[in-house]
Amino acid sequence: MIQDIIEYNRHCELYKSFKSKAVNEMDDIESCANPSWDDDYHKYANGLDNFLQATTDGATNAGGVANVTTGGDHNEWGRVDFRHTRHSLSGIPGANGKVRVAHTPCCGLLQGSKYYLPLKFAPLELEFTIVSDGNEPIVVPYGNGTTQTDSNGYYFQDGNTSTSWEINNVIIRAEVITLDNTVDNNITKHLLEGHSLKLIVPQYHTITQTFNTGGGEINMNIVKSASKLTNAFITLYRTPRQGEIYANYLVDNYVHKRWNYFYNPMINGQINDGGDPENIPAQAGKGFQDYSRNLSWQMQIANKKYPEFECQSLSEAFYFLRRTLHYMNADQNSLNISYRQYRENKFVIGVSFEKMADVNFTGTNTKMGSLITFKIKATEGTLAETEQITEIFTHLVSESVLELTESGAIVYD
Amino acid sequence: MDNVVAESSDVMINQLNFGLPETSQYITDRRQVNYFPSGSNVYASNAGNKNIRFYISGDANSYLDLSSVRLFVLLYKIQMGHGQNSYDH
Repeated sequence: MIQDIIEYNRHCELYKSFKSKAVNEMDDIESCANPSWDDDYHKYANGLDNFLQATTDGATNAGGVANVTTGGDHNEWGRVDFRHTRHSLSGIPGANGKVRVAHTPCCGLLQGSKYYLPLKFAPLELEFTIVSDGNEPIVVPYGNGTTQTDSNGYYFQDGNTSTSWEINNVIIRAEVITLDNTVDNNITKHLLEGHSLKLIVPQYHTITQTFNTGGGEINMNIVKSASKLTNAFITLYRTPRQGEIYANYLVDNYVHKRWNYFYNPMINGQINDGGDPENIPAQAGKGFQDYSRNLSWQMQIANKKYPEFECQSLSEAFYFLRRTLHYMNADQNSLNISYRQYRENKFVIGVSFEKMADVNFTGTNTKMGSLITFKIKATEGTLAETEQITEIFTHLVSESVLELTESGAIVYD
Repeated sequence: MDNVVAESSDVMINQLNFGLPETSQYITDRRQVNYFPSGSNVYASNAGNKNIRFYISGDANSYLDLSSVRLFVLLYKIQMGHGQNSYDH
């Protein structure tokens, strides 16, 4: 077994976020030609359809008139969530429709690999497991279609959204090269003489744990033995929000799932004031960085702390994430995480254990029984119990060497 | 300043390099191949086998480009009940 990735759907979503927005758009086209659920980075002021009210009041002809409500500023960032409609999440149109979709396996051996694998000596076995809950990867309809309609944000109703699906015609496409016989013979001879081929492969390990601390400090003990532990990505989770906001069905109800919801408590605070912020606390704007919901965290391996002084805010967390990913030059690289997403549903903590970025084998050794602990708490007081973090996903990355010999493969981690 | 700069070494810029580039003539062929799963070709979350398994092997002198591997499936929406229209999802 070279790699075994659990929570694979969340793992894929995490690494998808680490590609640039432009690459994500190309990936979306390659995967099914539909925009992804998180394609909102240029749509803060969208949701205009929420302000349009078809009416016949004052109508002078049968077509009626359209009134525009003045209850909100259309350019007000964050006041109205970007809402997927049946046009942006177009699904599969028509009865018994079908669509061809693709998936790029997100494992260290395949994704972005620079190696060509000699299939004669190293045949590959890939196994994918389908989710046991068929509703997990799709939009589940809600709304009665009479009082709960498009104009209230209920875009996916029982009458227009189905939930039953299956896949068939499954294939893997790939490319194989053939070498000149002399070179191929040399590689074969090399292996038959007892020598080996060595591939450097990143290994992924996902560790999850649930908590119920009532909003207080969480201490997570992590056991991972690796010679070269390079970094950790930590994502948080709690059950997505339910119900409505400003008389509109919350976007969360449709799109936030266990695999794509990287919870940040700031999602519970509005960016801008609502209609009555003085009397309704939930409508009081908190800005992009809701300071009352900042998180403090720190990771420790044996007696070494990452960072030395705990991270205490959203901006520091993003700094450490960029350091971990080595994306300090904005002109060259970027993430698929927008302002709003980082404060609400794509919050990723990144910790680098490398001594030198972009150089192999400079990670930290945890083979000697080093205990890894992760601590996280609210920076100011405790989180409300209804906003507490209930599950932590730790995605660890380590470097390994895959050694191919004439008789088999060995993984050194 | 000039003394400090003098310690640098000059390199030939690419625009003045008229040599032929290095090649890899020993790669004689590239083929687009596909592999089918062992076992069933129909999968659903609520019935049957949930594991899709592929065995990717090849003849002698076949080298798989690991970055080229993609999984393709045909995703079917199964009509349930009635009332769905052309905007079904």
